[in-house]
Amino acid sequence: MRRPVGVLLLFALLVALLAACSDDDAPSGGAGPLLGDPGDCAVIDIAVSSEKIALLQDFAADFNGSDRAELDDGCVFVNPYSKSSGGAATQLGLGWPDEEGEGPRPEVWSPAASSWGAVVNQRLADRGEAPIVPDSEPFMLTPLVIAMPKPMADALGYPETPVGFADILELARDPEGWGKYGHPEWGPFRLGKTNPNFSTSGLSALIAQYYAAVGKTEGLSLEDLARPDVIDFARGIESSVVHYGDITPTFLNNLYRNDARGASLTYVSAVAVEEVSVISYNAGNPDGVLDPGEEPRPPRVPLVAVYPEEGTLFSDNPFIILDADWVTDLQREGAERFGDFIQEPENQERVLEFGFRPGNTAVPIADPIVRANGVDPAQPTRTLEVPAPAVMVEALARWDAQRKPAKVLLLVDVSGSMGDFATSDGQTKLDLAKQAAIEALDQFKDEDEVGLRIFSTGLAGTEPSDYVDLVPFGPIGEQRELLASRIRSLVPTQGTPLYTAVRDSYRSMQDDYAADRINAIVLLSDGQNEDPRNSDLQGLLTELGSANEGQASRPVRLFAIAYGDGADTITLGQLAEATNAALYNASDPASIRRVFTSVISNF
Amino acid sequence: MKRLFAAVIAIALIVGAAIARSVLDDDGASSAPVGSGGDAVRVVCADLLRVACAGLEGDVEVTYEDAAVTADRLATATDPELDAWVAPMPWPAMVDDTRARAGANPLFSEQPRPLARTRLAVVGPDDLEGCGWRCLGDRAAGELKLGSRPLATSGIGVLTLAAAVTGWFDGPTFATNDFDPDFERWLGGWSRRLEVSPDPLTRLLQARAFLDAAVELEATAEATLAAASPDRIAGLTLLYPAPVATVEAVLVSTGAGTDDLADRLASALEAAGWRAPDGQSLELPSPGVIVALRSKVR
Repeated sequence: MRRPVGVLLLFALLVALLAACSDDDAPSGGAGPLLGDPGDCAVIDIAVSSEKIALLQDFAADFNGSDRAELDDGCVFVNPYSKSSGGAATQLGLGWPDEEGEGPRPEVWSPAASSWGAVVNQRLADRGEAPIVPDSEPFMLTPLVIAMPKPMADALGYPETPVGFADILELARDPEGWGKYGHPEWGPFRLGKTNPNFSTSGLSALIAQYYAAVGKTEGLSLEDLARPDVIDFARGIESSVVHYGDITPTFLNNLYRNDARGASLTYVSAVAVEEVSVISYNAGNPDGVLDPGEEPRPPRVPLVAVYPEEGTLFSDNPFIILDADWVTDLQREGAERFGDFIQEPENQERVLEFGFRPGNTAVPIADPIVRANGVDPAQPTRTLEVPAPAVMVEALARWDAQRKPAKVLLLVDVSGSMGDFATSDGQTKLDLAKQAAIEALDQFKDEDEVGLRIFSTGLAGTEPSDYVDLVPFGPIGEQRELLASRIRSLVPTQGTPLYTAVRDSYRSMQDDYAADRINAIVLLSDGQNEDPRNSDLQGLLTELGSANEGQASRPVRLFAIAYGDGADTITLGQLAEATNAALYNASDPASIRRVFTSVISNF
Repeated sequence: MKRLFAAVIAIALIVGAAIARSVLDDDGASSAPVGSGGDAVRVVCADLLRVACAGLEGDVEVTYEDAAVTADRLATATDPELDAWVAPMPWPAMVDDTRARAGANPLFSEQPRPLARTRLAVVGPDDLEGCGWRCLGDRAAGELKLGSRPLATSGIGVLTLAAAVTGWFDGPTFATNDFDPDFERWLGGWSRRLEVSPDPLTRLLQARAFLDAAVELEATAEATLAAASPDRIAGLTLLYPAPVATVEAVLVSTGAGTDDLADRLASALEAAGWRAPDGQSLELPSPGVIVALRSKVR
């Protein structure tokens, strides 16, 4: 093929001009669209707490490929991904050893609150390592509040009568419950709390709880945590907990579903959440994320943000460029650019739209942070002091021992499809699930009672033939090895009698209900119900739902793990929701360890 | 043959462009000031004077760090690894004072060149009007949540400490042997309760729950308040507690090639709201006393 000489000369001239005007190491490829192909740009992974991932991805979409992402030494491509603050803190404290299971090791970290950074540095210091989390600027804020259904806040006389953490915690321990306020029909005071090892509102609530116990608003000390009366107080509070949530949306989604049935006042009386969550809930978007086709529908009973009288803590959302040896100069400079970008007033206006208080003080605190949405821009007026890092680490360690004990049945699907290969090195889905389940056993505390039941059609020679109890209930401290051994020996067998296994397991948990424990089933299944003898899903859902309602209910939560791409996520989700629990998606078998960790954090 | 000719021309153009680029780069480098080491001038700039030094970037090698960090390094350094330091007084004098006590030679033989001045201010509620540094200390030991940068480890923090203690002694002419138990109690009372933050004024404006008042340089405070939305500054006033302390930015050199920097730095500070130096007293205690105070609150 002949090319005209003129074209060749023109091309050469263009190359020559580029050589004169640009840097030698400029990228040959441009940055791609949002979370698309970064081309030759340096990728900056940003671990972001879940409640603001949509916002950060919006920012990333505008930043990537723009002039701002072009630096003297190349271009950068920011990649925000969702990671719970506590989960990231744990990984950073260990040097982020598991990128496959935990996500890419980040160059930038934006936990919900700066206090997590102090926890990481303390854990590193305990191991004789240098800190990696520097002081960083917050780019948006939201205070911790006590979210209560409006009739309940009214019953307490709020806001005319100030309400504090101490009041709430006293009510939670009062056997008279709501009867003390003229509403026996609401039953006992039910407290919702998230796991402080994962959730920022959980950590903040734990700190506030300790302050309430010792009657201080600052200077919480290690000696305070060790006081016998404080330990008793903490145990009393934990005993009123409905169940722990890994994240606040677990509670708010359940509350929203109960609200639709007119039953919101009997699920939970108060939940410690961030102010932004109250705004989202009252807007009809309880988890703050609108899925495709979802439209916000305000709840029948709105929530009121109670700003605790003693003061509260803020989630200050710092933008932390880690002082770690894996962060290159180019990534650091690019991260600084992105940090500046999100502080710009027009982007801070978007922060406000999401219900957060802008960190840039040039932007006013305005709608949606208004009284009509259940929140008060003039509050809070006081803060609780963030304790020293060593105190926070100790508080977390003590919570592990003081939290409400659990009674949990591990209900594992061993149908034939669990033998499908899940990895290139020949591991099956069951292999991965076994490893994850065995590791998850370490997350239970010794006094938790755990049993193991497996199910598949025709598993046993006698009735009931569809499931077998491999390990009966007992304190896991005494049978952790036995459970691990039995799990290790599991093999895939036949079909999936999902409904029968769930129904019978639920009934047996109800029969042997332990009132002083969180009662739950962890169901792991990779398939659909394959049992012609029992296909009555509606009947099962009705039974599960009715067992969880009413003052005299004996709530057993069913947390379902939809495992692999063949799992019936819709049905599993319905089963979980019927018990005010949640579905966890592990459609990628490689995610099963992380998912198990999230599920166990409910106990 | 024609294609061969075109290719040769193309290669020649590329080589020519590369040479042209190289010459351009060389020209750029040769115009930069040269320091005592024969390389580009190295300027260390105190964080709080970033606004002054930003305009020097590209011409000289600028490093930013807190004046307290630089001072700690220079106090024991044999090679300061800088040609000039842009810092607030009396930090350079404190460095040489510390060195002299350790038997080391002073680093800054020349007098510091004053660049600009601004006052140490407090942003707080109207009812703090008329409350001097001693009064602020009293109230910060109680219910007043006063925000400051770290007293011992930040440039402004140490100046805040010096100003407050000057308030206690009603003037800057005191010495460490004037520290009595009443003073020690007073100092310990408020310094332990101070709300320490890297940027206290922004924190105050972000949420009143954090702070009631914040210490800041007048020039910085004016700019921050002017940029803030009205709801953020409602009920807040810029105050100058008595005795009014003045912060003076200076340029001190350890090497050559810094002569033309002072005017540029002064202009940048003036544009940022600082005032021209007027030779008046700064109303701060002696460098040795400030070093001692700093040790006391560490």
